[in-house]
Amino acid sequence: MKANKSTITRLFQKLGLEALPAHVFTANDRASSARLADLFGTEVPLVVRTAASNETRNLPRLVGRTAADASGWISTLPHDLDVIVQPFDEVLFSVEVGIYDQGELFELIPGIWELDSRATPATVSIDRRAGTVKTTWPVEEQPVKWYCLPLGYHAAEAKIEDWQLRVTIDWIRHNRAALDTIAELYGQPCGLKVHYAQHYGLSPQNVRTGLPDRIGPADPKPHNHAIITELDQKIPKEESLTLDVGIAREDHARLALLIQRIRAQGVRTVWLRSGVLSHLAIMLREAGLETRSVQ
Amino acid sequence: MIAELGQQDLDPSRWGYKAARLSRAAGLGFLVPPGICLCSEILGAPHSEQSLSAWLHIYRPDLVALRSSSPREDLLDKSNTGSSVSIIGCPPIARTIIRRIHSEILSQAKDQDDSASDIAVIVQQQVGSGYSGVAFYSDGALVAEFSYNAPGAVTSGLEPHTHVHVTRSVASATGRPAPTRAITDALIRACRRLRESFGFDIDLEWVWDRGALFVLQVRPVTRRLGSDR
Repeated sequence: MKANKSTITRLFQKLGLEALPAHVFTANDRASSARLADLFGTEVPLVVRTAASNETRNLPRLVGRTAADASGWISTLPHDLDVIVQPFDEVLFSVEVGIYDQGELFELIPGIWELDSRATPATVSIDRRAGTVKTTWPVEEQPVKWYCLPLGYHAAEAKIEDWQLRVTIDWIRHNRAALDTIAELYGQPCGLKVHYAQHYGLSPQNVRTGLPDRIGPADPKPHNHAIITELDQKIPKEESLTLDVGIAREDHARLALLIQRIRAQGVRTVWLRSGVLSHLAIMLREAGLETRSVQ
Repeated sequence: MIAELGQQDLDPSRWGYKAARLSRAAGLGFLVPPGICLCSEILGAPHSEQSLSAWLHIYRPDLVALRSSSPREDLLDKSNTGSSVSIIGCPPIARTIIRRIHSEILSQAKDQDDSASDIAVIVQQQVGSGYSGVAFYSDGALVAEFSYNAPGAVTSGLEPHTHVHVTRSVASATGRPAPTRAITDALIRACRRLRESFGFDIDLEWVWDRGALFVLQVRPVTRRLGSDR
């Protein structure tokens, strides 16, 4: 089943997973200012995402505008894009969930998790059969990215908090049947991008494919190989390396070039500090590289 | 021959290493449950019961724990932990406490060593059970095991509810739900400071109650854990 944001949003609603309310408008059913105001109010800041029948990266989106402005922006969009409108709410933490036959694996960081995040996530592995939970997390504070309306994007140091891990474990267990349904539809393993919104709690935003094949014992740690921290750093001719870079969402082309350079040097395995379920990790795997966690 | 924890430096040759280190930890600002130390030689005297009664009256513990403290226990290279006695859940009645000290601590010490006249006993306010356990801190790495609402479970060898391992900057944990990250942070901070102050790798017994980490015992690690930890 192809992952398109508008069909996925409807699926989340049908399965009872949605907490942050979303309204999908197709090209034939564009949202007028009056309709948005009816649904959300005239003064509520909104998030407008777009969805295409063939999902590509970096589709246009609008953050923080009220109904009248949002409607005006929507009216300028190409006709082949659907629109998903939600109220803006500050994201306290972000989770990438992997659904596997033997259990679930999730990675969590405070704030917003985007391509340029270099934060090391907490990783939680839930073994469904044994009922055990294994957690790893970075001990020190680290810079993470936040988004709020007065400031926009801003970075601040934060630690992962116990309640964040617990609430996510409980959410996964409570919604296990729904997660299994998603995995059946999209093929296992399959992933979810989930946000914890300040006023709504955990709410899935999208489905991910391209996850690692398995969850299991920690990978043996890398040793004595190159660590790439800059996008234009020379890539050595080695079988493996560690990647520790941040790439802005808009710099997709630079990331594609970096991946090309990595593959050209014969690298087969990339070790990551920033999570094997992250967007960066997904792109690396889609390019045929194996990814492993440094943690 | 009577001293409150944290109010003075206690000579371990007279008070035992347990009392000496707890008193020092309290003096350094660590949360150590309030306690009074009594040397064995005065425990038969009437004034010991009066002094203990006075302490109980002002501190008003719901329950107290009794712990032996000997200069032959908790050494740098040998814990002699089998000779140590701890009794928890005692009602705060001076006469009863002294009777139990005689019958359960001093008599056992005498059975093990006829010259056990240099033993001291710590009578200590018992904190809430909360999360309790043991932590080893060595070379910047921490291993901790703890359980909820099961005081003494970890030290007595029962399977802990939660196991935590920290190396360099990454922690990992398995087990039951717990405020694991918060407890781990507190243990790392405490163990680092204790290591700096005492100069040896730390074997720490602790209780985490309502967000506060209490130090119950500080000992040197006598044998490091194997590489499988």
